[in-house]
Amino acid sequence: MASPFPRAERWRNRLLILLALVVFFLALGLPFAMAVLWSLVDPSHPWAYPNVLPPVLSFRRWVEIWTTSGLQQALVNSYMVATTVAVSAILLALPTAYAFGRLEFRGKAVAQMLTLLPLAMPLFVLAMFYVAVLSRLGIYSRFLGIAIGHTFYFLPYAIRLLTVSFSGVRQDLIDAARDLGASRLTVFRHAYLPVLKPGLLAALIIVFILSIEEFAISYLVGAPDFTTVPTILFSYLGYNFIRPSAAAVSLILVVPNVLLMLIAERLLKSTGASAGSGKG
Amino acid sequence: MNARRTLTPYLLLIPGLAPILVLMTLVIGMALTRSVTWTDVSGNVSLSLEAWRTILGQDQFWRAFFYSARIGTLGALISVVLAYPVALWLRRPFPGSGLVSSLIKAPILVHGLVAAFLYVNFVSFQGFLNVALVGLGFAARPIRMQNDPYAIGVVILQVWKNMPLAYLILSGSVSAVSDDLLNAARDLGVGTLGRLRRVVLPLTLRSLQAALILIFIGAAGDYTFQAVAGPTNINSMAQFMVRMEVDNGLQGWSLSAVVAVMLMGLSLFGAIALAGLVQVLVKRVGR
Amino acid sequence: MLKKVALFAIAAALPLAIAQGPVEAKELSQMSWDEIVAQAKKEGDITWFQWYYQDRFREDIKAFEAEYGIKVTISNGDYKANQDKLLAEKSRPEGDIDVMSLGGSALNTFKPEEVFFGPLKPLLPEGSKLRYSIEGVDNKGYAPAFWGNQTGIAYNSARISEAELPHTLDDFVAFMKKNPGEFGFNTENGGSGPAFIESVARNVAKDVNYDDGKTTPEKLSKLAPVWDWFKANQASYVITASNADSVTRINSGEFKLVASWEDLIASLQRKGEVSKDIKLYVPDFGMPGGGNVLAIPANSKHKAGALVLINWLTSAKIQTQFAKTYGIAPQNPDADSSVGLVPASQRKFSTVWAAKPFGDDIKKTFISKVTLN
Repeated sequence: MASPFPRAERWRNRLLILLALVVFFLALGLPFAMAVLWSLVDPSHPWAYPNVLPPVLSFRRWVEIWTTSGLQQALVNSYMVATTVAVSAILLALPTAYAFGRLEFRGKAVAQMLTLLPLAMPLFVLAMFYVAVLSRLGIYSRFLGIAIGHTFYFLPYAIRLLTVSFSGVRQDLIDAARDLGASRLTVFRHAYLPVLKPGLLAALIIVFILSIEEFAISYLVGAPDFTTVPTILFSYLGYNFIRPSAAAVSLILVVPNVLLMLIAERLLKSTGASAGSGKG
Repeated sequence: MNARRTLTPYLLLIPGLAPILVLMTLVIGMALTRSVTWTDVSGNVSLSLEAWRTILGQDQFWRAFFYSARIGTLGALISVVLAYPVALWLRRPFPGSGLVSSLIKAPILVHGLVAAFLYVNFVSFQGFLNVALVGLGFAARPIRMQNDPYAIGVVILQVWKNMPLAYLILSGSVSAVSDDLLNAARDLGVGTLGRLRRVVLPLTLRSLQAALILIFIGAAGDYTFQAVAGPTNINSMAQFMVRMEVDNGLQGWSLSAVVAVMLMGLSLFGAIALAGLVQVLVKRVGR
Repeated sequence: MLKKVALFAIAAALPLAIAQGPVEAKELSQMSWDEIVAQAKKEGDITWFQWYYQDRFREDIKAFEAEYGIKVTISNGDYKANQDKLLAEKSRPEGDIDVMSLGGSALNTFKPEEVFFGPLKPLLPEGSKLRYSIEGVDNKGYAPAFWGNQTGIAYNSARISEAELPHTLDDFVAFMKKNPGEFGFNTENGGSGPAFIESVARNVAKDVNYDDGKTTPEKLSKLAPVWDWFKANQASYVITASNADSVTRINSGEFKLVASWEDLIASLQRKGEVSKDIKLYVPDFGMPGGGNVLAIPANSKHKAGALVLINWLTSAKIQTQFAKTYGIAPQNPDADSSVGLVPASQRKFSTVWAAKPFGDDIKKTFISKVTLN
């Protein structure tokens, strides 16, 4: 009685997985394959009507983009801003996340809601009037402007991620360590750090990526001469639209971030696992 | 000691919460004050509702407003409608479910601008879609789909980018629905659809609303998808806001501030309306 | 309170910035060219705000960097953003811009003597040879031209023969009727589409003075028949996203005709990005031609370096090179004249641009009356 039903279900699942793979291929695999193909179009042999396929393929476009588009400067800018933002957001978030994760106090729920405020704001509005605030305050450094904007805007993410980590620390371990007369440092090292470490790293990476990918603030504060990778890509998609070059820049923006994100996910899973084992 | 104890949590909140509150207050305050000031031709600044009058009297503004409202609503609803069944399907792990789940989440890793580029490239005259259509004999000549006037491209991009987000938000709460409860309902003779309506939907209402709100705010405030793939005969609110500032010299900031305030209002009330609508719907079908 | 402080700061900085200009001008003007070059080398680096071909100029500029040992940074911003920045920071005592590229008629929208350092004419060794009056605007020696260009209609000769090309406005209407969706032009991100709009305006609304930059609601309302013309044909043309988008799409076979720039097509073609099938002509009813100029903001930190770069860019050697690679009309009389795409017989159809800010308002009104309506 029980067996025919699961079998039907198994077949249904297989079919659905197949469908998911087809959708994935159409929605992601194929467009990316097209982008790769476009980025390999040789600069001196245009892919023009009526050619269905590019006449000549080469890596020359990549070399050219790398040497002449200002991409190197943009990468330096992006990565410098992102590093600053990730470190400062984490430092600012730590005490607050500790309070949210380990302490009970009146108004906690309201405070937690308030930290999410920036997410309820249309990003372009925020960026636009943030620019107005900066010029009113006389902050002309674009690096500083973007770094401060990103740090504040991505704080909610850092706080949220670290709160989860903090609440995963097991009270019984802390108590046990205290009972054994361990110093604060030892308690921290043995009870907190093992649980916090993956969460900290994941939060660092996630804020780092969010900052690298952020467009509105970087674009409006940095315009026109402080460029980050997304603003360069935007100019390649708009004013300086050259399809093969845009393809190459797109790929450059995506690949490192995907790798970093996969690492972050690994780390987050391990926090989840240790937090889960703490409860189980 | 006791006072210190009660004060400690609040002191700890300062480094994280204060910057957020300061930023939001400054930005919103700036937008509000700019919207009620007006600079005349000779550069005198005065308190005035002129900017409001100008913007609210413009046809173009209202077209942008309803356009953004539409994109936000469609983007949010379609994303959630697509993500919900998938979250239900993947509620309990089975062979291959991990693979599907990570495939669904993949678009989160792709930058919105890259997605827009990939899309435009895909539907362009030389794009794969047209080559396929012509090659298979469905069309004699490639079809023009870039920057389509109905904003189908923008909605596709919004869904493409936000469906995974909706899935992430929903999957947690869907899998938290306890099997015991579902089994109990089944034992009471409630069918599959009934269980969905009376048990699963009400229990996941909160995350359903959260997903709708987040996606609506993002999609209604969109600039990049619209700029790259959107119709050229209409502006989104964010685009209109930036254009007002750039095109209007001394009055630019006041005019764009009005658009900004209206966009914030749209985000707030649109999100609340969507969330309320879903609540009513879920209650009704659950009856 | 904050506002008062900011206003005070601006009020204090403004005269300073203006005062600073002439003082330094004197200093630089008392130097010989060799001294200026030596001073430029001491300054070390300069930032050039240029809004097109930045990537290719980064290649070209290497010769300059090697010759003088001065590092040049070329910004990535677009035209509007660059100009906004110039105006936004003009009250700062020291700005980020050393050399500024502008469209020739832009100088009409603000006073060069307030924003720029100079005049450069007496400071540059070849200054008296260069051109300062362009697109109907005389900038009084503050900004020499370094780029001459012509707008026109690009066509894909693989899809339309020369005999079929429309030359009059009536031809265009007939062409669009017969070939709906085969003609494209942009309204944002570049001047080629706006050039076409302006040309139609000149021919449809003839009682408007296009050489006067003054702009009033009454003057703009006289353009109503122009908007009617565009609306009547709205179903038959396509608005593209940018100059570059138009070219990309005509290259892919999507259009038969697009509004474009001679130098844009020529340079992309010489580089190989665009097929040789794409050609360009100027219709009989005329399309505007003009050029771009270089200036030094009054608050530039590296004025000597900026002078040396401008001198290099406007030299006969570099102008000849630009004519060859980018298809521009060279602006140094000693340079080789361009081998352009436009047939010589059509050069006479070149018109000047409508004076600014009226010219800008034509485009803005088009967007609100036609595209967004």
